[in-house]
Amino acid sequence: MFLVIGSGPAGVACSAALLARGAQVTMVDGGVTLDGLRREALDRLRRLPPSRWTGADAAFVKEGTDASPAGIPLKLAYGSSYPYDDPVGQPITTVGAESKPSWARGGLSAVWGAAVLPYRDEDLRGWPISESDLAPHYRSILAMVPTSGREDAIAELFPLHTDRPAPPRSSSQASSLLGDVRRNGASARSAGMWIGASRLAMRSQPAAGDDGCVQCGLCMYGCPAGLIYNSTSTLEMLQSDPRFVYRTGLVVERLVEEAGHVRACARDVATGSNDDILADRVFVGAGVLGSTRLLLASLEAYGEHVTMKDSCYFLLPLVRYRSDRDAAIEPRHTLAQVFVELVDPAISPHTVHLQVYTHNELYRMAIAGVLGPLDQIFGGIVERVALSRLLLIQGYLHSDQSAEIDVTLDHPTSRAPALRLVGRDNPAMLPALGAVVAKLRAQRSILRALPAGPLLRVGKPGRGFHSGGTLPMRRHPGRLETDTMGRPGGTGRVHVIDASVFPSIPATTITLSVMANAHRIGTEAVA
Amino acid sequence: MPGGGDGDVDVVAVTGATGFLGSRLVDAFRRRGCRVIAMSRSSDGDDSIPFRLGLGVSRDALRRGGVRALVHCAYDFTLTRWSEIDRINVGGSRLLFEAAAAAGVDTIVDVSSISAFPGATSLYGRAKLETEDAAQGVGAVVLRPGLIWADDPDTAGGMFGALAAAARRPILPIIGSGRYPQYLVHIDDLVDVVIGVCEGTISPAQDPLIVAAPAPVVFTDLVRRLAEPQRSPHLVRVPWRIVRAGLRAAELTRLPLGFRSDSVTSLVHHGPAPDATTLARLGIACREFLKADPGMGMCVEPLSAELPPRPRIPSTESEGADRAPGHVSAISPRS
Repeated sequence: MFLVIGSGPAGVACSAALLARGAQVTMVDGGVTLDGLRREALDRLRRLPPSRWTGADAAFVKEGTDASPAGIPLKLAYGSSYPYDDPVGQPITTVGAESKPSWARGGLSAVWGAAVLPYRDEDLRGWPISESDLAPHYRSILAMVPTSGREDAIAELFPLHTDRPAPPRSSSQASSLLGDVRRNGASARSAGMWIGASRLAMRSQPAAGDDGCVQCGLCMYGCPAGLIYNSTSTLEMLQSDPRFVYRTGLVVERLVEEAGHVRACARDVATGSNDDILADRVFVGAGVLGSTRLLLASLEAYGEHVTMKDSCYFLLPLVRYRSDRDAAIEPRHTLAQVFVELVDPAISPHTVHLQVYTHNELYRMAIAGVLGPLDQIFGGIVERVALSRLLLIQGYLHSDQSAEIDVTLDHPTSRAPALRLVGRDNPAMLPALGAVVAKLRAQRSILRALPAGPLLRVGKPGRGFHSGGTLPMRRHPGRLETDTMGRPGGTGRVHVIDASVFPSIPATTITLSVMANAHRIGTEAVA
Repeated sequence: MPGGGDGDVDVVAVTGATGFLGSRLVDAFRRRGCRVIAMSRSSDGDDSIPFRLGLGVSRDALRRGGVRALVHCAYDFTLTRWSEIDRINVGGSRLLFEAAAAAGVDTIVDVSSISAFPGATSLYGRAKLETEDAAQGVGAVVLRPGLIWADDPDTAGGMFGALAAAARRPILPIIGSGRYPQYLVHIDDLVDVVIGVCEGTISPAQDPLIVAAPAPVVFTDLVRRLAEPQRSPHLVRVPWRIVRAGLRAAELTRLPLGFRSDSVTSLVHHGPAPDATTLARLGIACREFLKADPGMGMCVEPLSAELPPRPRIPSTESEGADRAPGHVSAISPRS
């Protein structure tokens, strides 16, 4: 039996590969889920057609989410912080960093932005595997994950890896931007900008039994219809296989390799009792912090530093020349609408990835917060003049140009040892961000928009959740490194399958590549 | 070709394939039956790989192309700030070398420059020196060509082309005394050396190999020769710092003058003389600029009177009297 730890994207992708190879698989996870009251409210909402939703019906979805000019706070799921809730009390201290583990069923896929691009080989410097090693697994994953996208300029750099992407449903602001860019397509490319519709792991079009995306604009709070991909949907599919066993509410605290098998020392979340599981092999997909903690404890690497790589996350408003009066009222989804890929050596040796978000009620909320009581007087004007032109870029840099996080697991005492995260600046980061702003300003005639450089906001290391690399894959791994099968030095039956093994974090979205790599390891482990 | 001999078509990738040297290399490799992959910004067709200095390079593309040898000639001369030069030229070359090594390319040739030497003060020389470190880190062969010249100055590029154009002007500002030595290499000789390295007929030691004729040419003589058959320009000697400052000012104001301030530094602060013994041991002899083409006319005074003494160049087999004057073939023809 193979044991998979974690039900997030890595865990389900690896499990699917193992099952496809005929293996017996047991999956364990912390199993935290949405609380009962919210689940009931969500089910009620799903039973109603969107046209009959009232503000009161959907109010719970928005609870706890606030926005300010400083940015959008930690994303919740249906008004709940359950994706970040810790059922067992594993302490984490952070200094100059901001990252959270997840013990939720589905891991962080309950709160992700659903953007899916493969990695380019050009961005995989130092990796012992290349894009071609991942390519067949991208296809396998995208056969399981519904995707919207288009064969456009983005596909020139990032193959679709699927024959049947659903056409994206663009907002009027996005359509207008893409139209302007299309008219200047050749200029954009020669300027090192590839611009196209976003590629999202969501079911945008109607399918048997439902209407697909109804463009209710609630994506940032959690899709009421459940159309944004969450790995729990793959988990449900896996559970229909008799060779798959799902044991929820278990947190593995230590792995011990013994003769011919691995002992996973788990704790039952509900009872606190110990539960040892014997497996032929163990695949660790507990998320970067969870997997790092587990491996450092298992290798007794207490007090030893590992480095968590991070893809710098930033927000930058972009003001279009043309206003769009329907922006605030039209039906639309509020995930990323447009992708902009910057390939320019003056900025970075690697691709810089920008996700453009069009109108969102959180922008209005942020402006109302700034205006205070004056919002009653000026709010309408601001909405007409500014918000109808405002786009928000959520951008990422390659980890080579981003801050890093030192990670240490304290020596164990009577309590669970603390995982310490300390952010470390990268002097290359600010010049790169400045170059991004300068680039967008220089290409304003293509975008027909100006970046609001002074309003650039940079997230703390880890804030964007595009992190990994604590146990990087190497051709010749050292003790706290892994081989191309994710096996830490000195182990033979333990495979780390999440972003912990990525030698660097390219700017383009991380989850699809996490899934593809986990699928690759699962496939090759049974080869 | 590297690892060849089994009848397969050998594949060579060349960066800077549209440049002065790169284009000659492409032609020469093709004449020898090689498939040449031009690494350039445009990626049209099977015989190209997208490449832009300063950006990451796809190992998969090199593997898919079956590249057996890589010759790196590209350099971005538009950059004037060291931070940019370091990031794009040096860092970009490092990305290229690492990708080539990871892709299993058998032979990597870094075309550096004679301007690269410890203590080099020009940004170009420093960049080339640091690029050499990156190249040697992956076991590449490093060549340091001298000033590359061609039989027809009108079609030449690079520094030689710029000097040739300048020499046709009626008045030419000469930097400093103008009596500093230039070490030159004919482009065909350099191409032969690159091919020899790729084919394995030349195996330089680990140190960078200076590829240039051992006899230097005084800069003013070089300019006078380039002016022929026209009248020599009137040479106006200007302190080199003033020339460099003027060019620098032009660069800052983005005035295109066709000559870079950093090149002035390279010209004035020249590196060590070519080690003729190394070249000779490898069976390489480079034709001399002043003897190459009698049609080029003027006889210039011997350099020995002008320059500090250099180590005597031992006679080599390649200096035999049966060869064409001034031209010694460096590489044995391919069998």
